Amino acid sequence: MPILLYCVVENTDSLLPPLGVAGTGVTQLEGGGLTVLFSRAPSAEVWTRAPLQQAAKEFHRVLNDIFKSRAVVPFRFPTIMQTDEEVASHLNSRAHAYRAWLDEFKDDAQMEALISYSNQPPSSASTGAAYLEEKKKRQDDLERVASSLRNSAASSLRGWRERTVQPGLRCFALVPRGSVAQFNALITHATVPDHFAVRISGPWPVTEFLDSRGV
Amino acid sequence: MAPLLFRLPRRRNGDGAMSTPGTVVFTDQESDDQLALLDILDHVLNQGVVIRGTLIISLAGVDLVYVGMDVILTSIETAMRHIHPPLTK
Repeated sequence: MPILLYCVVENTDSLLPPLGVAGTGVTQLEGGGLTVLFSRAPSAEVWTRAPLQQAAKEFHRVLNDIFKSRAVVPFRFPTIMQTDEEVASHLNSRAHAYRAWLDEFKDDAQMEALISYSNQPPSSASTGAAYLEEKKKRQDDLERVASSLRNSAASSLRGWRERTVQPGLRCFALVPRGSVAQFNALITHATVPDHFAVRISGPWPVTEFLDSRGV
Repeated sequence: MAPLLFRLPRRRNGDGAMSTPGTVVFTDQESDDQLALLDILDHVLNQGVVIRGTLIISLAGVDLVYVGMDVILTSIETAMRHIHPPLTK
């Protein structure tokens, strides 16, 4: 019977979320000193059939409910296995990496800032070289805004990473859970030029700072 | 192999609530607005641990088994580019 994996945690002394994706129950399996949370269903299509957005939202709800009380290592949606044995084998073989991540980030959350152009004018470049220069200038502008955000929130940060995305630049801030409110307050003081917009979201489970080499 | 497809909601341009120039705005994960949905989709679909596993998709009562594959989720536009690659001279 297909198994949809949600996340790995260190313990589940609190209650599990009552419902998982598509109304399936959330259950757990222990191995390697850790616990993996998952749902079972007669067919994987229960989780993957359209509308997929609804399933993704429900997956997020499950993760968020668990994350409110403890650190999690989330799986990407949908990560599906076929048997309890397969899940246990994976957990045992990767327990060292999962435990290291959970220990390192047990008190942390991930805040994110998406920097984008409010009204990006169309390119005025007439040559390829001019287009590339224009593109580099825009990237430099985005990175300057990111630097302003980072400097404003510096006292609340444990880490900072950036990734170029289609709308602009996404910044990932590693923030102690107890400092999320401080982070939000500090980052509002950042200098944001008129033609940029900054959108803050979080707290999210820590994902961007996980070292993938361990899995 | 049929990829799992979904269409991301489109952003609206010129909507002050979604894109306020020169300011820092906060989105609420619990709300149902488009921005919150975009953030949620980006997180659950693009972040988190990826492991190779077996995926079984049932279509019309027939189980299609993919062994050892990574699950692929893509936008319709990206999928169409792979299905109908541009002609090269």
